[in-house]
Amino acid sequence: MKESDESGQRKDIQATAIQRVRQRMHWEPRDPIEEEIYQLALQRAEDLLLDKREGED
Amino acid sequence: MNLNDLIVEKVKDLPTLPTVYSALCDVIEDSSSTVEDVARVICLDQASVIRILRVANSAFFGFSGRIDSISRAILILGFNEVRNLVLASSVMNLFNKRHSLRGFKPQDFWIHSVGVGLITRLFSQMAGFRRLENFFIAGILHDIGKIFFFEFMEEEYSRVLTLVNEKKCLIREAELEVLGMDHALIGSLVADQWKLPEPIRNALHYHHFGTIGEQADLLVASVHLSDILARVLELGHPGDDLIPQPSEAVWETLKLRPGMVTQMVPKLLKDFREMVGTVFLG
Repeated sequence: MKESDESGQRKDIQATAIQRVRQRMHWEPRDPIEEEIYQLALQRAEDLLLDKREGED
Repeated sequence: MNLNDLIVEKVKDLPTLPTVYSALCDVIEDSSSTVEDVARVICLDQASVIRILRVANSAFFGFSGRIDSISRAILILGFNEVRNLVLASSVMNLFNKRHSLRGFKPQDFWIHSVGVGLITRLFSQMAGFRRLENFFIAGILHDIGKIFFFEFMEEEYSRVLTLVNEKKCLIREAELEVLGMDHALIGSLVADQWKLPEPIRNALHYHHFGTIGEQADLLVASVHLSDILARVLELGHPGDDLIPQPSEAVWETLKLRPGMVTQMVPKLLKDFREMVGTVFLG
């Protein structure tokens, strides 16, 4: 796969992950630990989307 | 009879826990009991024997592959941890509907519960707490009220789940709107009915708040944050898709600092895969 395709796919996954987390978390982080929880949710959503996409390929 | 009275009546009619569990409680309460006395009771139930040996030998409990008998499991894990594993096994066997209901899948529910149990115990270890035996079981049972509704009041719970799907709200909010009481209250009533220890009952009752009123409680705080983290990591499915905001009160109770939660995640995911894949549902 070309580098530009990979980068495009990555951005697509990141955007979908952000959308998913926003749908699930209806609050703003108030402190560093809550920010950490938000980042974990984002990372996990990306990982699961990536796993799903790799499973489909 | 109004709906609230009906729910309370249904809790009173709940099947009792298996004889092996009550016999085990009796023998553990007796200060003259030996490890062999306790082992003899557990061996009356082969399903519990198998599950205890599998769990005891998992990496999560740290004795991988070294526990080959119930007596040894009791010696290493302690009376109370073994009793709680029998309790977990008994409860999972008691609620045995397998079909899904408007997106609520019992298997995903139990996977979420096991995830919460694992995280709850990890938090208690991180906080330096030494008596760990109630943490895993409190996490596993924290949402028992949901599975009670699903098992014994399916028609009413179907309305709750429809509302969750329509409003994209927390299942607790839909329960309060449709049934007038939530699964946390029902969990505490179930705990009373089964005479479960008070710390576990409190964890079931207050897990949405992280404290008991104003009072800090390590077990309640652990279950509260573990439920949220299991949702963040998408371990199983608790019946709704939301991630609630944690209570700020729990940071101090759990002695959490920035970075600690992220640090525990790789081990947690590894333990979770092992526990779910080969021990509980394998």
